Amino acid sequence: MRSILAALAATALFAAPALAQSEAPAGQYVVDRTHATVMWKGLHQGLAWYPARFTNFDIQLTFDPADVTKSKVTATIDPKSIETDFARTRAAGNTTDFNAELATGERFFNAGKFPQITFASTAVTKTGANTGKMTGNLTFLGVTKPVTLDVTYIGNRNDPRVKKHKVGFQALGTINKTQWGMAPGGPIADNVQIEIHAEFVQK
Amino acid sequence: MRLLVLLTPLVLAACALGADPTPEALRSLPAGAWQLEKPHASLIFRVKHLGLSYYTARFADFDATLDFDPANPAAAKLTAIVNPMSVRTDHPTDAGWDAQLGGSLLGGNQFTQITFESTRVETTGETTGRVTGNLTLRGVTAPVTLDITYNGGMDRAVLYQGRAAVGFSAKGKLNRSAFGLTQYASFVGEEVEILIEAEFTKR
Repeated sequence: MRSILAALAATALFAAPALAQSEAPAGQYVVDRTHATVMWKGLHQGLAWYPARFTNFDIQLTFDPADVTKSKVTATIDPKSIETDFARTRAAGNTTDFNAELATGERFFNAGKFPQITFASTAVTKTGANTGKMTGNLTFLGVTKPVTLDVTYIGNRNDPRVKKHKVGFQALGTINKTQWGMAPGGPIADNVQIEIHAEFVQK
Repeated sequence: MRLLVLLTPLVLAACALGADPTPEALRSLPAGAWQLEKPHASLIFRVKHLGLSYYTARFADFDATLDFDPANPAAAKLTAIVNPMSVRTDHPTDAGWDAQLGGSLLGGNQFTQITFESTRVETTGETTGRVTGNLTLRGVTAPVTLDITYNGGMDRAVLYQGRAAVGFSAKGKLNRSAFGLTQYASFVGEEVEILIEAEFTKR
């Protein structure tokens, strides 16, 4: 009897972390911005992919591991938080504030008139054990169009530092900037890649 | 004068086309020393965090020189220097984190440069190749291999005052422990992914 109990106890001890790995609690999560990146890349003059990221954003996740198709995401991005590192790479004597030009320029994100970029998911489908597609409405420059992101569920675990459960994802997609009213052509090609890496912490 | 009138539309057409991604365009580029166009180059690395996400950071200050003869790509030489203190993580609350990462973990307090010097260049296809070289990080030198993709070239790039331009993407992986970077092994992955985009112009 004692050996059965001991065996059960041992099983339970080993099973608990395994269960924690496979199942995250359902409910509300919020992005952990310390461990999240929201970036885009556009092919510049056909030569190389030009990356920029937004450093200020909020992403809310409603997650149901039992049925991920019920999951929902809403996000807001501050276009003024665009970062290109141009200030560190520009030639001596060049004082252009390229971040500001991209953020507020009428040819670009025109943040004075459109202060937020938003995303709200409308559908999630599962494509594999840890992969899926998330479709949603992306709004910038006042235009709302659907986008679909390829999402990979990287994992989940309890974060001992915050003593809360976390889940982590990667999301990749491509949008055509002209659909949101940006001029076709120009130095950056029309098709722009979106790349998001994000951890979410249980609320 | 009439010649100018005839030439103008041709020049404009050439501008609109951007870089040519064909192997023929690569082969027709001039041989010699090429310099990095820093505002159009990026150096990003990713490392898995908590098994949950691909933590993404970037160096804002780096430079590279390329000695490249399209007729003999295997003879190419690439050198790069990176300022470890220019690491950018966009930490939302800890303004000192980049200095800690660059100075302490990446060795910037002791070593002002991370360097790369190619030792071997191979072609793997008409527009792809592999560059192996010595990476020196935190004063430790170990080999790293990058997979290179040619994106496009221009005989005369208007953006670069008519100089020839070429653009590459490069990807590689390294094991951070090979450079003595063993901290935080319980929650930061061993494998570091490197992503480079670079435009070069002919000197």
